[in-house]
Amino acid sequence: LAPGSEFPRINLSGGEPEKGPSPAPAEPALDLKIDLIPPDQSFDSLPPKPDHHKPLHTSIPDRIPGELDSSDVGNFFTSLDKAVRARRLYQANNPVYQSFVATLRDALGRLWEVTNSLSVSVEEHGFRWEGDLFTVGEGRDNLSFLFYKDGIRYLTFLPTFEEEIENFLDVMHKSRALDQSSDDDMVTILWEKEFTAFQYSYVDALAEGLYLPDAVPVRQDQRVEPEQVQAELAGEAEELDTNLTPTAVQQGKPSVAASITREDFEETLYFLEPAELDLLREEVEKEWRRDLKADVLAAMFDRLEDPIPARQTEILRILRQLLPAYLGRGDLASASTVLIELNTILETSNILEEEQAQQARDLFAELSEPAALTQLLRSLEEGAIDPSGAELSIFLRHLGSQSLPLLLRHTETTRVIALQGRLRTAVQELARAYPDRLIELIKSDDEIIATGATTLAGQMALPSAAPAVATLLTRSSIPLRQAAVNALILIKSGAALEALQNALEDGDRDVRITAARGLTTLRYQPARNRLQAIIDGNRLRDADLTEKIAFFEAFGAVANADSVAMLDRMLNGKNLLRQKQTPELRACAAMALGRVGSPASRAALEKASTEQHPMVRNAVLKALRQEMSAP
Amino acid sequence: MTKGGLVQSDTILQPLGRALVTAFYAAAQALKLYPLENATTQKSLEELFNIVRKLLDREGAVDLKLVGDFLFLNDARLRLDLSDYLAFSHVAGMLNKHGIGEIEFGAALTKEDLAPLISLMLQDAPIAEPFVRFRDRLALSHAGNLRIEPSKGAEPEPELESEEAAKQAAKRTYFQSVQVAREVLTDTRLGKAVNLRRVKRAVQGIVDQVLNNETSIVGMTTLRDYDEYTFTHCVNVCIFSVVIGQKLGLTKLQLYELGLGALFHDIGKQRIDQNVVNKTTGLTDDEWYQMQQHPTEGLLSLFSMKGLTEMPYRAMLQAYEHHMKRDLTGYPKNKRPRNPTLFSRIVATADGFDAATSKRSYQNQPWPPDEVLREMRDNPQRGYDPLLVKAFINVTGVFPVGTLCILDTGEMGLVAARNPDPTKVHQPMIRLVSTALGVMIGEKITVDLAEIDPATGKPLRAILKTTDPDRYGIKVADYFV
Repeated sequence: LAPGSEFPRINLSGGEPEKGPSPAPAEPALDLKIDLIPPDQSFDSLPPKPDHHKPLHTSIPDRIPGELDSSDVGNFFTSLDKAVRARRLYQANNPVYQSFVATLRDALGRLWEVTNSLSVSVEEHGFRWEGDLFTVGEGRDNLSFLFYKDGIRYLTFLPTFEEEIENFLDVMHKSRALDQSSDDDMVTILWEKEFTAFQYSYVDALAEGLYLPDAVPVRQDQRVEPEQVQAELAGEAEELDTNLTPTAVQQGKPSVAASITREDFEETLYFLEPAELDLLREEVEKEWRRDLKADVLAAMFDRLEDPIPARQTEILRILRQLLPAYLGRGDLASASTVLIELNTILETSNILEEEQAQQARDLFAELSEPAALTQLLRSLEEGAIDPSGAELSIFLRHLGSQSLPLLLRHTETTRVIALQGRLRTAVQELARAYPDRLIELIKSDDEIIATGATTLAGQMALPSAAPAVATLLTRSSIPLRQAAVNALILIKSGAALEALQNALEDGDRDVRITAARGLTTLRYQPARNRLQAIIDGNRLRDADLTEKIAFFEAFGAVANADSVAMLDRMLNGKNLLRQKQTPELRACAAMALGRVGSPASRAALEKASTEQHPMVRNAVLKALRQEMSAP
Repeated sequence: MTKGGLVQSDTILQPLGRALVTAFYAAAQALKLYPLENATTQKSLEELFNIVRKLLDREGAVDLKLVGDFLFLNDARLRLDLSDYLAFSHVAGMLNKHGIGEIEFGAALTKEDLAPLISLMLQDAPIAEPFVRFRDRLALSHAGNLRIEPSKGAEPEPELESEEAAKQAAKRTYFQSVQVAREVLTDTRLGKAVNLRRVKRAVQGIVDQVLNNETSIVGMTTLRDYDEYTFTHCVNVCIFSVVIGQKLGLTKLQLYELGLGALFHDIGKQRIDQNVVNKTTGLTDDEWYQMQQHPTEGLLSLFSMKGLTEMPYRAMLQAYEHHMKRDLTGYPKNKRPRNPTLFSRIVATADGFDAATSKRSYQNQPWPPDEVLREMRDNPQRGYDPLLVKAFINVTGVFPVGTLCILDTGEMGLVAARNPDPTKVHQPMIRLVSTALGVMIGEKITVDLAEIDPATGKPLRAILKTTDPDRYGIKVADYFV
């Protein structure tokens, strides 16, 4: 269009022009300017509005024309309406949805029996064919409006569209979700789908207000002076010889200068060899496999190292935005890369000014805050993200100590067993970096956190944690005391085992048994007197057999000659009333003697080998076997 | 694809057509090397027959036509790509040799009909009346169900009207894209949200044009406007990148992604002092340092671009890496390992070519396009990917569109298009500008430099020299609008 000329207005009356005015209510002319249409033509003549009796861009022979009627078209749109609605309600593999798709296919099949294409104009409230308006959906929710609002004005459906129906319905479904802020509209989505049996024409929104320059006619007074041309050619005559073009030589033309070389005519120089083609194809494939995010991050960190504080601040701001995005997608590997790189830069002096260094440190701190961490843990719990244990460990390792309480609490309370294992390993990595904080948390009033910290300290066999753990034995919570006993056993330091003895007199049976078994395993000699006092006293009188066994075995494990004598008395001796101990205690004494492995203990057991009471006899025989098999 | 606003699709016909030409070529190669009864020959004939049969079932008729240097299947022009252009040129060459313009495969075609046809095509053609001779010999063979027509020779190019329409469509796409580039860059400078839908439509339009109307849209890149350089350059780089991508066999969606990044490749310049960007004299060290920041600024711009709902990592890398050379010199400097992406290297090639051939702020005298290509190809210091430069030359020809040439006839002409025959990269289509006597030519006369003088058997015209249009007061853009 010439500058300043009027743009044509679009006549949206719809319908075939030759059929006269449309029965649809008159619509205002759309205030869209397009350059597609020359000023002397109406929109209806352009773009080509397909005649539904003739095939469009297909060589399929024409069928008998004129048999398509409104009921066929109506049937098609009704089926389309139902299928579109079904797609909104059901997943694509749902049988109900599939049945609607099948119905739509049938409707199309009936259309193709009488025509080779169906073309309709798109109006705000429906699709128009031969003067009839077909509405698909209601109000602003109607299908035609989806097309109409993005400028699409004509649709043509062709045979084999039935093979593309589901793809088409997916587009309709997706386009409903688009809003003003979307990157896409109906035109851009349809373009990506590359339909073969569905065509559309649209008002080109990009053409609005566009100025297109016209060709400038050649000036009649202008000339190219042949002398100037000759001079230019002759001016380079000295360069001629080897650069002469083959064509000129072949044709016996006079020698003239040339800026082009013989090489320019060696077409083989420009061909891509098969190996080069293969290389390029390989490059294309590689391009789609490569980790672009890693490349971008590497670029960001390269530039973060440039001494430009304003840019460093901007990059840190971008990283701060990227991290939640990565975490939200479960991309802990990328998030870890960011943290590792940032950490390295922070540890290298002189890269960041103090202000930027503080911004970087703030980023770590923010990530470790409960608000941020809770979201990550919730995603893990819900299975929304599922990083590997290694990824989780690497990421958590870079968080601050303030993240420990929350992580410990979640590790203890998660109902996902597999996650608990991964979290324990991961949190352990973090705790290694902050042992003092872990010890503080052992003393936490929050029972769950204290339990988690204690368990972790045990797993880490952290000797410095023993005093803190020991204090837990006075706490009222049984699980906490139990965790403390377990931790002390694993820590194994002198202080830990010293504290462990206190648990032998814990108020809870299970705690006592655990402590006794721990001492059995560790053969902690200093515990002998305490154990002897318990065994020799009345403490075990009311205990069940399991507890008795645990204590006697612990005693046997640390027994000396005096201990053997005491056990011998319990097994074989009588009290002042000439009565023997109860069979349970005698059996337990036998088991303890079986753990000693000295001649005296063996003699004591052999003395009782003829014992009549089955419980005692069994225990003795078992102890003897145990002693014989001992190294 | 879109054509005049109407979206059509030939996504089934195109692959089948390309398969037909490739199978034709394979059968010809087999018949050249082995006897008819050889299993390889039979297999290749079988494959060719199956494709023809498939087309017959789908289309009802199969009509392979050679018009100029284009192959048409049932009136649809077959598009070349990297994987099949040799087959195309071979088949076109065989048809040309015998003066065949059209082969129609009949509905009752059998496999046995194909062998005589191809065998005859492989034979040498007489200088006089090659078509008549071929037709007679085909008639004597047992091949039936085939109809051949002679080539139209020097008849005027068909569909001039549609050619004009194609040019108009290309022009519209080009100027729309320039407008969108202007909006995007301006909005970015002002910190406004970018309307990505418009950007998408523009890039999709360019991809459509490259796929369907490559010559016209590439011709539009000569419309370099000094005042609008920033915007036209973005669009030109987008077009050249998509053209190279097409040559590499990228899919439509991949071409879109490539084009999008290419359109944004210089977005970082919007964050550089515009006095420096538009400075017409030489840059000081400090100003040059500022200019060198634009790839980094481009990367950061795309991170911060308002209106994006997804991180365009590929585009970010295109913006960041497009001034890196193969040996990683150039700028910005890398501290961590880096291997620029294929897309970045494509954009670097397209950017280098367009920048060197344009008149812009600190380059009053643009380089002639053919010299730019030669420099890019031959000077490793420039740091371009040699394979991509080669692929680019395959697309542009040795003499890119818009190059002003002095012909050995004394005429002057502008390169209007590369020769569609890839073996004739040095013999482009020339739009004549002036006669040997220096008279300017008003009407549009396009000549093919590969056209042979029947009297001598040699080309009618040849390029003697490329030259600077400014020297003769010729405005290249006037011939492409």
